[in-house]
Amino acid sequence: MKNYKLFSRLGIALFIVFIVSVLTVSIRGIPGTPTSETVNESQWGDEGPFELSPERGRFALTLSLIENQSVEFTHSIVQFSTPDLGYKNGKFVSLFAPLLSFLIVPGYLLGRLFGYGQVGAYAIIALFALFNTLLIRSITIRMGANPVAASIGAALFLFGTPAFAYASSLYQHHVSLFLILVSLWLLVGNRSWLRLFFVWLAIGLGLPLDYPNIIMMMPLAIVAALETIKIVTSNDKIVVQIRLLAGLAVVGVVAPLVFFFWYNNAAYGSPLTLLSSLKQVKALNPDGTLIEDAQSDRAAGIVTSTAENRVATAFFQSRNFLRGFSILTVSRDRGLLYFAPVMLFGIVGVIILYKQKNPHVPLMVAILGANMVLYSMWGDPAGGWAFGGRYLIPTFAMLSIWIGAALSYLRRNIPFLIVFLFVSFYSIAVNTLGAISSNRNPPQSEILALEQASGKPELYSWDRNAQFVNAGKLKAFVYNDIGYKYMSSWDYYQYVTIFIAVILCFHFAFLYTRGNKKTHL
Amino acid sequence: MKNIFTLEFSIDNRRLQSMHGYIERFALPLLLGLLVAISVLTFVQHLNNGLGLAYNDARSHLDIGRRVVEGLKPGLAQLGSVWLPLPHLLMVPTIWNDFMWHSGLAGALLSMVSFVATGIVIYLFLKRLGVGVLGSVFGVVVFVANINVLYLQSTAMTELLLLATMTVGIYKLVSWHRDNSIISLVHAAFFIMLSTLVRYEGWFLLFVASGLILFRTIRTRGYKTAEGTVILFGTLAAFGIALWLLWNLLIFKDPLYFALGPFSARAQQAQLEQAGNLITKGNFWLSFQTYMYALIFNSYMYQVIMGAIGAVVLWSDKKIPAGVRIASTALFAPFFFNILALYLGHSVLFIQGINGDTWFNARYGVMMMPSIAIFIGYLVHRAATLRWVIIGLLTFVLFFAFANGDAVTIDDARVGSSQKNVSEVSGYLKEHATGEKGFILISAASHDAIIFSSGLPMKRFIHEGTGAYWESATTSPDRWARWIVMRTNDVNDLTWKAVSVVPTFLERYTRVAEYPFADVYELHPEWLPALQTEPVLKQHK
Repeated sequence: MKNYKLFSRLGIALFIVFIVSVLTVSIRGIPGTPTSETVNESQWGDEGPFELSPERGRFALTLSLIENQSVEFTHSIVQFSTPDLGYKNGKFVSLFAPLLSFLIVPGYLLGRLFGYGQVGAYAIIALFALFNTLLIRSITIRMGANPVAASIGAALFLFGTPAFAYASSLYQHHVSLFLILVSLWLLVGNRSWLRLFFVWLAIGLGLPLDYPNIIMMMPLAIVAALETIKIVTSNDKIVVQIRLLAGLAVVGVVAPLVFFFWYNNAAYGSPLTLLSSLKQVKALNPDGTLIEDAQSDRAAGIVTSTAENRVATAFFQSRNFLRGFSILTVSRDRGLLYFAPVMLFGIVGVIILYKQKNPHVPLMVAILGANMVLYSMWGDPAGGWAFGGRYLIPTFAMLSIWIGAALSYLRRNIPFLIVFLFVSFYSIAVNTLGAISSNRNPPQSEILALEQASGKPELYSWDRNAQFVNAGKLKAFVYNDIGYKYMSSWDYYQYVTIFIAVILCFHFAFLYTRGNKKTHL
Repeated sequence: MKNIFTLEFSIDNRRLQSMHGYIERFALPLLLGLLVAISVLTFVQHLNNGLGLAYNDARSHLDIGRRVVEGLKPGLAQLGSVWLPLPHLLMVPTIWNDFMWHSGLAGALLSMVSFVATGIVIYLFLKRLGVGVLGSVFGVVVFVANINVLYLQSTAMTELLLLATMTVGIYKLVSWHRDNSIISLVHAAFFIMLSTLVRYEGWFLLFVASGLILFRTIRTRGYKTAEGTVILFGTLAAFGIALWLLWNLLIFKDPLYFALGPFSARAQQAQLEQAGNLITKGNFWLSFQTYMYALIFNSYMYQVIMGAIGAVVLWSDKKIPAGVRIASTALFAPFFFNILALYLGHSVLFIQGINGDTWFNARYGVMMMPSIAIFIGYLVHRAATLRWVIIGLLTFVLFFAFANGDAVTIDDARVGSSQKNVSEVSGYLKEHATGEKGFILISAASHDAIIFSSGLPMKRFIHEGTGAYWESATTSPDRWARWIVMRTNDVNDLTWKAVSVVPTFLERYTRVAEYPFADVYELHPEWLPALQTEPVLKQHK
C-alpha cells in the first residue's frame, strides 16, 4: 500500500514534469520587456507575441496599471489597443473584462526582473493551463476512472485540442476554465459550506474575467444553491432540511463583485455600466482623436467605431445557432471535427457514465451544454482570427474527463485503443502546429476578401499553421531565444510533437498492461 | 452546530401523494386556462402592434370568408379554388361583423382555438405514451414558447388549423394502434379529413396514415381485414378530398381546377420557374437544405436537436408497443411532404441567404412544431437525471429568442415577399371612394390585400367572383367602374388583361395614382351620369 502511494505520487510528479516541459517549449514570446514606450515596436506586434487584439487589449490594461496606476489609456497604449479599444465618457479604456489584466501583473513584474516581462506575463496563462490539466485528471479519478486513463484524458485536453494554442498565448480561456474546473472539483467531492464558499468565490471571479462566464457557470451556481436544501426521504415522510451555512456561502461572490463594480466605476463612470455600453474604436486619427465616420463610409461598411450602449442580449441570437453550431463543430476553419476529433471519444465516456448512473454527469453535461449553446448563438462563434474553436475550451475539458472514463472502461479493447491512438496523434500534431506558431487564422467567411487583398490563395485551417512552420515563423519563446540556433522550425515542431506522442504511448502501454483494476469503471 | 444552522421540516408522504394526484387531476383544465390566456394576450399584442395582418395572405383569407356573406354576389361559390375551403367556411359565422373582419379576429379565432387544441393534444399525446405530468406539460411548453407559433396563432393564416387537425388525427391514429378501437380509427379519419380541407399537407398525411393502417392490419390480421379497415378509414378520411373535387367540377367545370387552373399554385410556380426562381425543383439536396433551414429558423436549433434525439429515444423504447412507435412516424409527414413538394416544384420557399435574398413562405417550417414538442416531452420523461439539464438549456435558448424577438415568420410577413405594403393604394381608395358612389373594378386574385386594407365594404368591388358584374365591367368599364385598380401593362393582372383591349378605356379614364403594387384609374367626370352605381344585376347568374 505504501509503495502504491509512493508510486502514485511519483507518477503525478512525472506527469507534471511532462506538462511543464511541453508548455515551456511552446509558450510564445521573445526576450525583453515591453513598456508603453516600446510596445508599439514591430517585434511585439502582428509578427510577435501580441499578434491579435484580444492579447493586445488585455496587455494594454496591464501596462496601464503598472506604469500609470490607471485604467485610462495613454496615447501609446491607445495605439497598441486598436482595433479593440473602448471609449466612454471621453476616456479610452480596455474593451475587455479586466481580471486577466490584473492576474498577469505578477508574472510581468517577475519576468521583468530577468528581462523577460512578456514571457512572464504569458507564463501565468500556462500556469493556469497546468492547473486545469491537473484538475481534469483529478476530477476524472473522482468519477471513478483509472489514474493513467485520467492522465491521458487530461494530457489530450491540453495537447490534443486548441486549448494548447491558448495555453501559450494571452487569452482568458484557461483562467475561465480554471474557475469552472475548480468549482466542479469542489462540487464533485464532499460539499461542505467552506467548499461552497469557494465555489461562489470562483463564480464571482468569473464575471470580471469574462462576462459569458456568468452563463457558463450557471449550472455550477444552481448546484451550489441547491446544496442549501437537502431532502431526505423515508417511508412515511419527506424531510426537508435548509442548510443555512450552505446558503451563507454565497457571500463568496461579494469580494469579486466589489472588485467588478470598482473597476466599472473607475473605467466607465458607473459600477453598473457594462462593456456593451462602450463605443468600440477600430481606428484613430494620427493625433489620437476619434475619427467621425462619414455616413457614406458607414454605408460602404467602413466603420472606425461602433455605437455605444448596445443591448447585451443582442450579442446572442437564437437565429445564429445553426451557423454557430456548424462553425464550432464541423467547419474546416474552427470545427472540433478538424481540430480535435479525439474529443469525440468523450461521447463514449459520458454514455458509460450515464448508464452507470454517475451523479455528476448532469452537471458536466450542463456545463458542456451551456458552453455549446452560448457560443452557437454568439455573433462571432469563430472568435475572429483564431486557431480552432477557442470558445469550446470548456467543452474540450468535459469531453476529456469523459475520455478518461471511456479509456478506463475500454482499456482492454484493442481496436478501440488503436483507433483512439491514431486519432490522438492527429489531434496532437494539429494542435502543436497552432501552439508554437500562431493564432492568426482568418475565419472562412473572410477568405475571399483576404485573397483579393493579398492577391494569393489564403489558407484558413490548420494547414495555414503548417505553412507558418514551414516558413520558419515560429512564435515559441524557447525556439526564438535559443532553439533556432540548433534546428529548423520544422524539426522543432517534430521534436515537440513526437515528445508528446511518445509520452502518451508510454501511458497507453502502462494502461493496457498494468492498468489498475480497482476502479469503478 | 447542525441544529443551529439547519432548519428542518417534514411533509407527510400521503399529503404529497394527494398533492400529486391533485396536479394530475387538474393539469388539463389548468393547462386549458393557461393556453386560452396566452392565446388571447398574444392576439391582443399583435392586434395592437399591427402585425396581426402583416401577411398578405391573411388579408386574402379574410376577404374570401367575407365574400361568402357580403359583396355583389355573396354565396358559397366565393370560396373559390385558390385555397382549400375549411378555414374560410369556419370564418363564416363571424366574418359578417365588420370588426371581426377588419381586425382579423374572424380568422385569428380559428388559429387561436387551434393553438389551444394543439397544446391540449400534445399533452394528451404524451400522456398516452406514458409520459408523466412534467414531461407532458413540458412538451406543451415547447410548443407554446415559440414566437413563430404565437405569432401565427394571432393571425388569420391557416397553419395553426392544419397543425391542430393533423395532430389530433395522428393522436387518434396512435390511439388506434394502441387500443385497436374502431372509434379511434373513425376519429382519426375525421380529423385527417378536416386536415385535407385546410392544406395539402393533410393529403399527404392521409396517404401516410392509410399506409400505416394497411401495414399494421396486414401484419396483425391479414390482408382481407386490412382491405376492409383501409376502406373504412379511407371512406371518411378521403371524403373531404372527394367533396373538393366535386366542388371544383360543379363550380369550375373541372375537378382538377384547383390544381391546374389559372389561379392554382402550379400556375404560380410556372411563373416562378420561368423567372428562374424555382431552384429547388429537381434538386433534392437543396430542397432538403431549404426546408431544414425553415424548420430550424421556425423551431430553433436546440429544439430541433433535442426533438431528433427524442424521436430516436421514442423509437428505440421497447416499452412502447411496436405499432405505436411505427404510427408515431406519421409525426414526420409534414417534414417529408414539404421536402417532396419543394423537390417536385409544387411549393416555393425562400430562405434569406440560402436560396434567395428574401423570405417567402418561411413559415412552412413551423409545421413540425407539435411533433418536436412531443418528442422533446418524451425525451424529458426518459432523460431521468438529465431532464433538468435539457429543460435548463431550453430555457436559456428561449430567453434569448424572446429577448431578441426571434421570429422568422414575422420577418417573412414584414420584409419578405409575402408582404405587400399596399397602404398607399388602399389609402387612396379609402380617401376618394368613401362616401362616393360607384364601383371599383379590381382583380381579387392580384389585389385582395388592397380590397381588405381599403376598409370599404366588399359590395363596392367588382372582381372575378362577381359573375355578370365582372363580365359587364371588363367589357364596358365606363358603364360600371368609377375606379379601376390594376398593374399597368401586366397581363397577369386580369383587370388589365381585360380592360386594356377595350378601345374606349384610355380615352375615358385617367391614371390618378401610381404605386409600386398597383395604379388607380378614375373615370372622367363627363361619363359619370351614364355610370351604373347600384347593384342591379342581383338576379343574374
